Amino acid sequence: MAAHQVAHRIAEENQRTLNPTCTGTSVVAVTFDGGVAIVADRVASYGKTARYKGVSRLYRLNSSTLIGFGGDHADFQFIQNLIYRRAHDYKAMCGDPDAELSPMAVHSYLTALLYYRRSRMNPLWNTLVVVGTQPDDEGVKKPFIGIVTLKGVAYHPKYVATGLGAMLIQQSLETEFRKHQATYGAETKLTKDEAVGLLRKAMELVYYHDCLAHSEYEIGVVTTEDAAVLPPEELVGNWAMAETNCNYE
Amino acid sequence: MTLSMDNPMAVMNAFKSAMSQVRADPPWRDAARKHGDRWNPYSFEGGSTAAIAGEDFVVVGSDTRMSQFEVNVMFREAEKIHVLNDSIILTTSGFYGDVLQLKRVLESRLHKYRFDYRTDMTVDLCAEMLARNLYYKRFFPYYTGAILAGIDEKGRGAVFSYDPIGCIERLQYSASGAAEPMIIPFFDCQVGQVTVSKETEKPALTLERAISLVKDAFRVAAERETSTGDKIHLVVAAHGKPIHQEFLLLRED
Repeated sequence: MAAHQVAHRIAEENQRTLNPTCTGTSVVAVTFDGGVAIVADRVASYGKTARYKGVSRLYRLNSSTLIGFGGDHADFQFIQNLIYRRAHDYKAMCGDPDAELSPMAVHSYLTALLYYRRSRMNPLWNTLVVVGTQPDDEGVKKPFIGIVTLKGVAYHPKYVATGLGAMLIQQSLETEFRKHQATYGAETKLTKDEAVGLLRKAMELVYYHDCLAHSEYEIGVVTTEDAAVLPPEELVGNWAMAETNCNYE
Repeated sequence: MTLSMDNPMAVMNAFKSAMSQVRADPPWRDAARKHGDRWNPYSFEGGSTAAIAGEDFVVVGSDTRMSQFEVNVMFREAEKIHVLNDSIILTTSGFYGDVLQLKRVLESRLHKYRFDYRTDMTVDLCAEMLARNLYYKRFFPYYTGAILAGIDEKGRGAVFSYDPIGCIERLQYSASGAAEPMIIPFFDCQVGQVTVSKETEKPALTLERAISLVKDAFRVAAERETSTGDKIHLVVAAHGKPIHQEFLLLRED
């Protein structure tokens, strides 16, 4: 291998996120009647080490949009900076200091960005969950969830769990939704309190099963009025099971 | 030049360059390992799609499941059939990121065509354009099993089948995606009727029969193919009629 190739290879290793470094794990979001609730724990892990505690993984962009992320923390901070500048440019473009990017606009932008970066073989190592209230054609704000993966796969579910949560609790979210629909009819939606309760339950399940999940988490709620990240909560969990488990070496 | 401790700087530089070389390209990383370590820009979300063309109609079907790592259902309502205009339907399987991009590319080309010529593009032209757009990415392909269907300039049903790098073929019926190896033989038997004996009664391909065949194809596929399921998205285009869409439930396991 020639010297310039060696240099190129080292540059490639160091300058591209081909392995994430400090990562966040699952994000869970559900729509309810008139809004969306989202939850993520507050830790950035370095491999299996809980490296940085008390790190928020929810970003409040404006009064109708929250963005949650899983994956590389540094890449998300870069994205956060881009979005912030984008939102600022949008205000200037509209000539209105109160102009706000809608969640769908942010989601489209992020889809294009992540797909572009994966096409350059230089991915941003994140799964992004954009939640908010999106005005429809009549201007009525409707709950919105948009997902983008690091390869640019995008979709709009009514409820979602990303990261290891996709494997662990997507099904329990679905079961809850279906139970609710079976009781109250197909068109029914959760109330805000039911949605937040469901997220707390989901977070407990994630905490039991995902080694990278942390007991401290925070919930974000977007309604037609405002978007807010609530104060962090601490999960204790029920570890009574440990007494009966004799399979320790 | 021979290295000796009389010239410690040269020894140091030689060591440094050997070190950086071995770091960048360690001898234990053989060709197979290097290839395996490269980041894969593609992922596969599974699912299947199929289309049948008749005399003056075309029936397009797909499932709506989006799966992850071939084991996990990410989303049960993914749209894989894209109605591009009143006579062109794009249906896709494969890497969903490329599917979204390909759809965006085609939509913008169609938009420009409409702006330039004040009329919608026909499926014949769009078929050729899609082939060229796919081949343009020959060395970093859109990993999509695309099928383009619609009503052609003469009012007949048209199905164009593609491979990921733009090989194009006009067929009477086609299927693509995970259940392709199950659906194609079924259509060979029931639509192409190439696997039945001469004595067997060969019913004509009516619109009703084509719709039933597409539904049957997906119900069969959902029984045996894990990444196909949840819903059938059925799109029917007939000459002189608006495009009709419906969703039918499939197995969810």
